[in-house]
This record gives sequence, structure tokens and C-alpha cells, in this order.
Amino acid sequence: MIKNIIKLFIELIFLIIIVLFGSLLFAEQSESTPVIHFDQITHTFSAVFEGEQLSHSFKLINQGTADLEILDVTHS
Amino acid sequence: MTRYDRVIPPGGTGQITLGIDTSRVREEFHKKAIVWSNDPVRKSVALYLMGEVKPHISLVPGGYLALQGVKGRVPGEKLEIINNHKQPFKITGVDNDLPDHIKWRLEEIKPGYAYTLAVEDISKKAGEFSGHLIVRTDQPQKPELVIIVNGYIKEN
Repeated sequence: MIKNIIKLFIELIFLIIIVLFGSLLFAEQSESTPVIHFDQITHTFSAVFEGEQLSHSFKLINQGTADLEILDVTHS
Repeated sequence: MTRYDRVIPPGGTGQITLGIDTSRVREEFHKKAIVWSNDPVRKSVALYLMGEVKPHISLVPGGYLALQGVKGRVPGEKLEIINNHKQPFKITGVDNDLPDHIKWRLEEIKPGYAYTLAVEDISKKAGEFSGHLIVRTDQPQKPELVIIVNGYIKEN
């Protein structure tokens, strides 16, 4: 009888642990994150004469569920 | 020149604007910019700009002439001046800061579009010299072309 109670208790503890881990994992997965997406990452200008100013705007979409912050744009 | 939207809400769109001053760019170019964001999976994204910058006037094979040889027998050198615009241009003058060492001659190949500039050594003494020929044009974008002339003249 006592053996059965201990066995049941251990099973209950296991069940609680599994439920806790599961809910933590679910919470982590559902945490909102930003997702950066560019339709185009290259652009080729037509030929120009020296001295002209060229510029191009790349469009990006935030496909995530939180604000996307652009932290910096560096050149290399 | 770089401009960009700092914060883009979920589902929103933004722009990264990249600029290039072509004054110091020659021929084909490839420029790379890296966008850093708080996207935990894709923290950086590389963007590429490509293109070609043409000179208003080309000096072929280049803007440098070297006169080398034994005094009195130095082979002449020449270069071509090519107009890359559809509109013709004129060469309005040539200034020479080496009058004791060189003489120059300008020939029209295709008036308004192509010329040959020939240079000869006239040094009276052996030695080395360095100077410039300044070709003046009526093209507003390129009013002068600087050609470097170096001489290495040996004694007989």
C-alpha cells in the first residue's frame, strides 16, 4: 500500500516537472521577436560619369511580432 | 551618405538609403554595407551596390609619360585624349612646366572627340626631371587634365 502511494507520488512529481518544462518552452516560443526581411539585397546602377551622386533605397519589412530596431549601418 | 529608419513596427516597412559620391570612384565598383538589427536570428544583413563610373575624358593608356634614353636619342611618347560624351569638346590650351626639357604636339584624330598628344625630350643635359602638362578643355565637367611627365636622360 505504502509502496503504491510512493510510486504514485513519484509519478505525480514527474508529471508536474513535464508540465512545468512544457509551459516554459511554450512561453519561450511564443515570445515576440522582430524578423528582418529584404526583398532585394543587391542593386546595380546604370553607368554614370564621374562626379555624379548615386543613391538607392533598399526596402525592408518587419515580419516579426516585436519592433525591429536598426542599430547601425556600417560600410566595408 | 546613409539614411535609415530606426524602428519598424511589426508588419511595417522601412528603408535603408545608401549613397555613393562617384568623384573618387573609377570604373566598376562594388560597395558593401552591413545592416545591424535586433533580429535575434539575423543580426546582420549585407547589402550590395554595384555600378560603373566613366571618366568624362579618358587618357589612354594613362595620365603618365616617361621619357627614357640617351641624350639626343630619347624615343618620344604619346597618349590619346578621348572624349566620352556625345557632345564634342575643344582643347583650348596646353601648359607645360618643363619648357627646357620637353616639347609637345597635339594632333586631331577625330575633331571634338579624339586627340593624340605627343611629347619629345629636348633636354640639353643628362639627368632626371619631373613635371606636368596641363591640357585645358572647354568641357565644364573636366576643364583640365593633368599629365605627369618624367624624364630619365643618360649621357652619351
